Amino acid sequence: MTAANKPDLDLDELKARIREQAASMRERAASALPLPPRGSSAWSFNWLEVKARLKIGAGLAQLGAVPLLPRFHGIQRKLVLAASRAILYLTRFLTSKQTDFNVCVLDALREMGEALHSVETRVVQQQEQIRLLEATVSQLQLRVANSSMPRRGELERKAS
Amino acid sequence: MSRIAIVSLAISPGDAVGNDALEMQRVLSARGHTVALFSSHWVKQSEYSRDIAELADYLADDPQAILIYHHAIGWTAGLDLLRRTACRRIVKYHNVTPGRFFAGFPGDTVRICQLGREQLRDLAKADCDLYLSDSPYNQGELIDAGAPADRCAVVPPFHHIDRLHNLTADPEILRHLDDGRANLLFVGRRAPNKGHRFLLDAFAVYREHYDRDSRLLLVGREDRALISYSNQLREQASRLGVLESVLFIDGVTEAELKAYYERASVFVLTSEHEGFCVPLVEAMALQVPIVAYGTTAVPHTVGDAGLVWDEPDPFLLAQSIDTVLRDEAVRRSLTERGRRRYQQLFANPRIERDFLHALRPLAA
Repeated sequence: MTAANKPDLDLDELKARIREQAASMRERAASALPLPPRGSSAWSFNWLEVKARLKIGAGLAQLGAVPLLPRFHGIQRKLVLAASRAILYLTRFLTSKQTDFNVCVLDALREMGEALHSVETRVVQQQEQIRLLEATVSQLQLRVANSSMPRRGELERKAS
Repeated sequence: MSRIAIVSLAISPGDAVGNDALEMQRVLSARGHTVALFSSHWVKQSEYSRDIAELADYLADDPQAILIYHHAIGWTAGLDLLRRTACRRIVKYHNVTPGRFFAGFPGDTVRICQLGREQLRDLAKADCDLYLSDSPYNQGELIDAGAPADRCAVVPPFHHIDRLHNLTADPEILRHLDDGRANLLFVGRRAPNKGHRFLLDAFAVYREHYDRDSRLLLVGREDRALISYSNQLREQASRLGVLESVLFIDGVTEAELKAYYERASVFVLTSEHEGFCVPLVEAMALQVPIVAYGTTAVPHTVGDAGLVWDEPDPFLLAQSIDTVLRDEAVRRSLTERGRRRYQQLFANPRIERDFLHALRPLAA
């Protein structure tokens, strides 16, 4: 029964129904065998998660930027900013290479991710096409079998 | 007009306390008050707030000035400052997660949380002019801690939902999630009090017995100190055979967050401790039906706008999700109730009215 024909939902009634259905599902689940894992899903990867992590990585990749230093104000801020710039200048023989490396690796990972994502999309589409083709072949086989049965009977009659 | 200081350990637009403080500033400034935000220099400061060391100069011993202190975590310097200040004082209590949830994880979160809960008693007895709480649940804790009931009021936290309404959802995420699969959404920090383990159990049951194509989106910031918690969740998902259908998504923009809400089939919350839970209000505002484990402040926030259960039973949660997804009338009714509840209780203009009403004796 759905709640479609009711003026408004009776939450208590709905929850009682859900509780009953959950209990019966629990009983069925206890006696049933677990379903086998899906073949197609073994390949997929979480593109959105990869993308989110790459975005965080991109935010951390640049090593040579002067920090914001919001806790310092006035003359203290000017001094600390000058010191930061000096430190960054002196260490840039290290940081510039590290930044280049970070950016290269991130770019490569991003491209690999996008390539994988497009390959995955194609595979899923192809699997869907295969599924449709298999269904069509099954239907055709069924039709061939149905149409050949009376024909075979006719041939057998003639032979006898 | 008054000079008002809003103080919190940290203020950033990305979290509930920060959004509340920033919106308070906007509301009070619009009424002609001089308002400034202050936060600790020990944590990463935002462009919005000043260093707490400047607070004394700002208040300038003005007894008519007002200090609004946001309490959400242990902060000894903040409490000392509140006690020393001679002006009129307001506490806004957002709740402090009990430290026990973080036991066994690295860092000093257990200590800071325990400290925060101990300081609640000190705050309650500090004879402040007004005690505001996000929810009746929080107010109950404040009164139990010794706050005078006649100076307490419930004012839900201001939030960023108006911004979410006005921006365009991220098209790439919309496109990616638009593949016909059911999307079960949870939004919240990846922390042990958020009850992800119950959610994974429920998702595994739902996937096994109801919809093998469904997907669980866990959107929320990952704390570096709690990476081992994330790893535990991945291990649990792997053990349950659902890892490939669980997306752990960190660092989302508001446009991305809106896309996740727009493509969500149902919002599922199994948190074990919430002082209010802004994501529930986001779900109501963005018309996503709610299924929740009703602990702490959750039943009050959701009201009759979702399926709320007293126990985090995975079969009960899975059956609720299935009912919401299959029965169009249930789904429509819950989203409509959510929209109404949001408009009536939690929309920013309504919160603004409640906030100004509570402040009326102090900031006329």
